[in-house]
Amino acid sequence: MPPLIFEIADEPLNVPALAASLANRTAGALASFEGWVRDHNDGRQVDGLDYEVFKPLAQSEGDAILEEARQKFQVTAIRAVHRHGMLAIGDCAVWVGVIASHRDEAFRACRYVIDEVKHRLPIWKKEHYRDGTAEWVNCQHPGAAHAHHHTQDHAPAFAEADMYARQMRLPEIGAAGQAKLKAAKVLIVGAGGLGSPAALMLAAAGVGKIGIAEFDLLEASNLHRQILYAAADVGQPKAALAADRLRALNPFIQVETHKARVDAETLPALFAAYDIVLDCTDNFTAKYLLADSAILFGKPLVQASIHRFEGQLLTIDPASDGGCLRCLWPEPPPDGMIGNCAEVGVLGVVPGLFGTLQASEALKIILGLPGALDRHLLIMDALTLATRRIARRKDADCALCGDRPTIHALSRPTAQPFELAADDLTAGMLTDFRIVDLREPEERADYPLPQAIQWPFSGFDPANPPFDSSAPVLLVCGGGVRSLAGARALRARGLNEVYSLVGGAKAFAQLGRQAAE
Amino acid sequence: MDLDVIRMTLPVRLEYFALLREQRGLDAETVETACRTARELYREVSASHGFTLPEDRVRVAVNNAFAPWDTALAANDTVVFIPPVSGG
Ligand SMILES: [Zn+2]
Repeated sequence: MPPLIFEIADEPLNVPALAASLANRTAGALASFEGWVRDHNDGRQVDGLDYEVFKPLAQSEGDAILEEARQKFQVTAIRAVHRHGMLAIGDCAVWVGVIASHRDEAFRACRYVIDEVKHRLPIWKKEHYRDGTAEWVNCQHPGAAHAHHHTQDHAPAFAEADMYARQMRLPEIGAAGQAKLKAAKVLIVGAGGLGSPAALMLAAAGVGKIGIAEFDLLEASNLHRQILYAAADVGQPKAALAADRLRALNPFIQVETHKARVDAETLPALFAAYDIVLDCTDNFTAKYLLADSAILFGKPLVQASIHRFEGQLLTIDPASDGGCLRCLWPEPPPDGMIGNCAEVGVLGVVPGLFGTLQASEALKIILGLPGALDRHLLIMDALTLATRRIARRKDADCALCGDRPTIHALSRPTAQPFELAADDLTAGMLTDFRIVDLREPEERADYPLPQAIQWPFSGFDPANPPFDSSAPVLLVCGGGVRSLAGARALRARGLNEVYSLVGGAKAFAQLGRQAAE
Repeated sequence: MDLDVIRMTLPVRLEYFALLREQRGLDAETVETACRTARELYREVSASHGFTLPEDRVRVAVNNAFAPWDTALAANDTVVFIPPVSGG
């Protein structure tokens, strides 16, 4: 295996010594490239350059580039060095040397390495102009970009750092902060009303790896708040749509999709693969699983939840003394006690605001900025614009993060004995059941159930069901939450043949489709 | 000494969130209360306005910090009742 050496250097480069270090009897050619600091850029007189390098990532990316070159070309050895720190006009900023048996291979490998280094290394330069000003600029000149295996088919005609020029100008971010963003891995669970703006903002900010965990298909009723998607996409899987949208927005980042449901089986590996997780889900089961995962697997979790015109936001940081979701509310409320978006409605801008705040919290954690919500809960009402930031502390008696925790693993779902999944139902059973639709009139258009008895949950009274108790009853709602609460309430009154359909009317519609096929 | 003098009322600012806001029909109000703890106050307003959430499902914050239910109330405290929410 030919020796490959990639270095980030703080001291001036000794070019003759670098070339001499590659001397080898079997090699017939040395091709080298030197990049110098020039005295002008974009028509402005430049005095000097400040290179900022995020060393851990630059080193691993540089090593990877040399390894790729070794595999693509017949070379004997490659050495590449990039400067870090303050450079004057004429200084050597980058040097690449390749030795090979034949000059063609040496030239091609050298060209490959310098192009990839320019394109991929997390290095930013600040140009100091003769007029005394300074500005962060891209390390690659406009128009020089070319297609890369790790970008889209249509690589943009600008460098990655061009996208971030305005935020890199902030002294709190700069090149070092931008490199931290590039190295960060953020998982977004739920690509809906909260996840849409969160994902867009994080991708635009240059978070290097974004994971999208989402199993659902896009529905028309999602579009008013789920701004990742377009009307033409209805019916498509949301995870793939989200990934395409994010890659189109920022082709320089990595986007992964996770299409399985988040549960006790899938969450450990997901938490292991990311640094920060955003909880953009819409139900208590997922929220408590994610909160438990944050503590059990030791990763910060930014949670947001919406109720009509208001929302709540908090960060669970296992390293903080601010505690967890269970410190506030030890158990999720019983099903049906507090409605979800499908049931109570939601104004699209409200998850829009809170998803954006989740992205903001993630950026603060990555960049080490002050004001993270790990010791507070933020409550905001979009109507009154009243905001409260309420201090919270770890509860010593918390079953998850307290002094003597009793929760040591993620809970696994135990099906209620009166819940039926679509898979459990046969066509014969369906003809025996009375179907009762608990949705409100305006919800029924999504998945019409013309054969059902209509009993909107807003008028639900378990003492007066609109059916007699002679036949088994299947309650159907939007997602299976109201129907479960309804079934529980009716069974408490002695109606023992009442069942709730898991997954609601959508699951029922799929069942009908299967039966028709 | 007259009992009414001992159990003087306190002015307290109350704020409601989410489901409680809907069930109260108000964002906030100032009440004169004889209750001495946050728990007594929640039970009082809960009974007057038909709140469906028992206190073990709700958290109380007093003056912008989460507090135990047995926290003693003082004049002009801001008391906020907060249920969990789950939408997205
Ligand atoms: Zn806790």
